[in-house]
Amino acid sequence: MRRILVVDDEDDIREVAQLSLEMVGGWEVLAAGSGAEALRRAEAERPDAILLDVMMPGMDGPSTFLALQANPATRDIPVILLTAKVQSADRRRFEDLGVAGVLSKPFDPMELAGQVSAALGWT
Amino acid sequence: MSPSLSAAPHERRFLAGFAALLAFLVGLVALGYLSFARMADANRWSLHTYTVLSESQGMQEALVDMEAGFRGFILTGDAGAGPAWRERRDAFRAHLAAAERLTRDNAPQTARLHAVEALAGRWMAMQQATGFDVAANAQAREAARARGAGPDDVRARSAVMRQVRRLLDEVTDDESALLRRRVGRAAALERVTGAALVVGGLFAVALAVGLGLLVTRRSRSLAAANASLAAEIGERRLAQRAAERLGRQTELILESADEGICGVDVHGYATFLNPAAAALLGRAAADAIGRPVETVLPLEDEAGSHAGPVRDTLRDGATHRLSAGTLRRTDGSVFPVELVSAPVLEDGQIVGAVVTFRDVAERREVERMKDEFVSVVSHELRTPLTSLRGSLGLLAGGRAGEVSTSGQRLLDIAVQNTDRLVRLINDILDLERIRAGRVELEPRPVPAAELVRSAADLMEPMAEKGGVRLEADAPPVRVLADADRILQVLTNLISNAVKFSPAGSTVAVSARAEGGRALFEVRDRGRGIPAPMLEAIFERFHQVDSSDARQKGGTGLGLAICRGIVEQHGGRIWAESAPGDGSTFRFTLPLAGSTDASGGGPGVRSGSGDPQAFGTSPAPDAPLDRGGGVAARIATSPPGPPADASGPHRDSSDAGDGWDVGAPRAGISVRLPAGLLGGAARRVPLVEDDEDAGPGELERRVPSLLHPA
Repeated sequence: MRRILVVDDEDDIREVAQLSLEMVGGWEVLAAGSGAEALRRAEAERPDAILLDVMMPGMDGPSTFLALQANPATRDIPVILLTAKVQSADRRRFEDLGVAGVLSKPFDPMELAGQVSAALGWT
Repeated sequence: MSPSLSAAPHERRFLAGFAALLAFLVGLVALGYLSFARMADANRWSLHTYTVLSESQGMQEALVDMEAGFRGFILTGDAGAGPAWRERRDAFRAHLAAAERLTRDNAPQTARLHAVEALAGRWMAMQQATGFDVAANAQAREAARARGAGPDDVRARSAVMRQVRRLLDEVTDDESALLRRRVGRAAALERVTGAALVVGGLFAVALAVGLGLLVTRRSRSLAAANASLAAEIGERRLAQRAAERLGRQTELILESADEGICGVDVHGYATFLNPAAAALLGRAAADAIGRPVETVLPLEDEAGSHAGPVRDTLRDGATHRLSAGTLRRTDGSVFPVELVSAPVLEDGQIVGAVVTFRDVAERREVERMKDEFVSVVSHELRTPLTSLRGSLGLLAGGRAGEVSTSGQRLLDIAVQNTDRLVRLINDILDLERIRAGRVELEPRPVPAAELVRSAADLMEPMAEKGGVRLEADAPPVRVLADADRILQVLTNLISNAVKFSPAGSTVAVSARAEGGRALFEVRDRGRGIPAPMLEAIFERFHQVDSSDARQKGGTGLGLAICRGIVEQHGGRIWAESAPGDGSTFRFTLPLAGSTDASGGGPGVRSGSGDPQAFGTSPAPDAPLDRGGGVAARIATSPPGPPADASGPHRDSSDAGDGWDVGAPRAGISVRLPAGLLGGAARRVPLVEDDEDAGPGELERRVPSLLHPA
């Protein structure tokens, strides 16, 4: 079973995403409420992918992604950014960072899993 | 009849008569003066003649006295005879000298008088030869008496005396004849003059009477002319007063206008500046007049200072607008301005322009604050909506356990309306960004056919669902456009057309080159749009029928967004309609110049990393399906139920609508060009954020495009 880490500071959104990925995608979902927590869980549990919210207090999405990349233990985990507000310059910056995809909020819980799969090339 | 028409002949006759009268009177006066002069001359000559006669008389008397005195001495030997004789002799000489003086100009008289003088001299010498006048004693006197008593002497003296008398008579006669002649001439002239005066006087009186009549008639006609002139002046004054009143009114209006108003003549020189304009520009109105419009209304942009719209109006006679310009004041400061330049036409000729403008700094600021507010609010609304929509979606999708039929129905309503709310927020944000100019276009040469076909392909499923046939047609012209944005416009228009088309009808999408621009057209056979609404529908939240928003699922912003996009491309969008016979939406785009046609750079956008990007497609017709693989994989590969297969729990027409996440349906996405989807499969940005322009733009747009306004 695929294991995916969902990182979002908004509890409700994180929970909906988690439920969506579990129910529709049928995956095992780990959750983290902050960038720091995401780094810990990613290193400790090595998920197959990470769905990472961009705007978070403290360590934001891009910073978290860079930190993941900097760690040999987590650098190969594909990351999809999830964002509600991105400036176009930021979006390019995200792409240039090398993320696997950029999804926007609000998302359709019935389709989130499909989009994640498409971005990651999962079948 | 106008009095001035008969004035010329009257005038000439009058002047001729007056001149004749004047000449005649002058002649008459001259004649009178001549006559008078002649008479005076004659009088003078009479006096002269009488004087000459008197002198002649004097001479004769003196001679007689001398003869008498001499004879008395011969008889009596009177001692006093000598002195008396000498005294008479001197008197004779004086008379003679006077007569000679008077007749100097008369040769015969002078000759006679000289003869008289000689004879008288001889006569006197004869008497003196006796020595009587110098005898000092009686003896001498006796001797003298004896010498003078000789009979020969007496005869000789008498003969000389007779000659002298005859000569003096001749002098007298000649002079008298002269006098008669002169007086006669004067009298004749006097008679002629008198007759001339009588005739001339009568003639002058007749002429004066004639002239008087003429003058009377003339003055009568002049009076009539004056009266009509006075009436005309009165009318004119009334008209002038009315015009003045109107002028004052116009002036008052211009002066009170809050907008700056500047009049410009056909050569581009300022002719008028109202107080508002003067205040806005910081320049006295009088100072502006006569200056070129570039100086008075210096619009600033990257290219420098200019007066573009005004010059355009003077050139083509059309109204030109500048909705976001910058004007420089005389002190160098600048302010944002909205400016309209309208032509002033006279008999179809451009005679100038009137420019109205206003300072929009305050409005801009208010708008900016409003837009920012809208943006923030909209954004903040999305966070709770995300979890709301997610939770409802899972419930409605039956993933959280079985739901009763009516519960399912309620959940579906909740999902649909949440989607609508999200669409609305997306559109508001989209429009706000376009209006704020924060959407940067990346125009490239794009085959119009490709845009038309892509849009038609995208909308095919929706059309099919509504039983509407889609026809696409476009010649191989290339436009300079941001392909994603124009696809957004086209799909929006097609979506509207399909929505309002009855089943079985056709929606035609086409593009063609016309008048140096590309003209896109979306035509439906729906119910049409009433004429008064044709412009209003492009405004925000404006729909032909207010119930449309609910029934058709639009946000009321689609056409406003379309207009924003098209205008940002430098094009124009409008609608034409015959109610009952459908509507036609048209918009124009600039054609890609031949030099641009081969260009396009390495990719649609930096970062797309796709060398086969849209803009560089070697064959305009080829790339339509090239991206299919990528897109198809995106849309069809999710595990679990495919997007379209949400089945009984979803209204499939709303699948993905309004969700930035997109979820393009397979049928739509398969035909998307690779460039539009943006690049290498590894980094396909499935979905975009809410910020514009990017390789993934279209995916984000696709859902919301399906049901725009």
